[in-house]
Amino acid sequence: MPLVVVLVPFALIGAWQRRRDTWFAPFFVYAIALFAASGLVFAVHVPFGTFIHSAVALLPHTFLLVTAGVGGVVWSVAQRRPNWNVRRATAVFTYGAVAVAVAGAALQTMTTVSHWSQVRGVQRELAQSLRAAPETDRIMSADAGAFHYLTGRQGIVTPNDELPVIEDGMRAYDVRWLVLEREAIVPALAPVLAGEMRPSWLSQPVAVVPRSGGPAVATAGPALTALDGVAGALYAVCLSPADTRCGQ
Amino acid sequence: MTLAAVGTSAARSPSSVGVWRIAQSAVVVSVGLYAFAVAVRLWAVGLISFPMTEGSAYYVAVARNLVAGRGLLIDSLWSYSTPPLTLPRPTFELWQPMATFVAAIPMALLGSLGFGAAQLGRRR
Repeated sequence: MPLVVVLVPFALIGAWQRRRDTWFAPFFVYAIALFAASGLVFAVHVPFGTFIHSAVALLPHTFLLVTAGVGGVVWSVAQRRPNWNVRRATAVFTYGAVAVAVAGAALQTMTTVSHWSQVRGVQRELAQSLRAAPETDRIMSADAGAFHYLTGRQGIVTPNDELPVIEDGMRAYDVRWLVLEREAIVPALAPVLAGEMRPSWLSQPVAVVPRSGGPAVATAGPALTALDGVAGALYAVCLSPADTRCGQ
Repeated sequence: MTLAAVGTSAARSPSSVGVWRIAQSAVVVSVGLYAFAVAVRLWAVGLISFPMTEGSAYYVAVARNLVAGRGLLIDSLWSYSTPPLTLPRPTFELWQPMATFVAAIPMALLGSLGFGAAQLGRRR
């Protein structure tokens, strides 16, 4: 984040300064190829992916370019300010850039970990509600890996498609439970979590986790009329007429 | 020849003194940065008590199956674009094996399938 917000101008200046440096040649070739491929090719069919993971390889050289850019800017400013000690000013501003990067990284890490913990807290509460379910029951969720980790049960990811396709997926894998999370929900199922509609093959929420946190609340009674305050909910999936869990 | 001896012999010419000092400085800075990065990572590991991302959950799940003797299998289907679309299914269609094996080794050595073991011996 600090690299993007504050240090990019220095990285660009550093890149211009080092454009003929053979040590940076592989970096420049990779950077140009990555931006070209991501912007011109991958953006067409992979709108949400590929760039960040591949761009990580650019970071070490980019931070080096930041320090070079800081040095270049300090030198340029020092030409107009004779009282500046170029060497000392370069050290001060370079350490300042490093401090910005470290502080930003720490802040970003704490923010990200906090968000992840919040998401996993909701998942953990919903998983607790599945303790009594048979070990062989399968779960459809936005994060099948997480629910396998938390419950030990097999699962499939929710298709980002219309309800009939989602139902077909459930039938193909004999899914018995559906987990909906506000943080990661496909558009077709958002009205379900909001309590605005319910397919015939779905039960009322078996358990809900409030957005304010806390344990999952069992909801064996009538439908909740207002689920705006819900962070996540668990539903039974009834694909057989003999399954009475969706009867209420 | 020891490093000190190298330093002494290198001190014979002013230019080599400069090179040696730069080398010493580079080594100190590199080792220092590496140690700092390791310390930060160890601190960050302490913040994490479960696999937070889809990818890390995948690695841990496969490592568990491997250590438990089930082989390289995964029990969750995270994408419909990579056959076979079965459960359980063969692994590493996208995410690659290294992280799984890195997690599996301490799991096997510690005799634990917990996430702490996957984090190189950090037990919960």
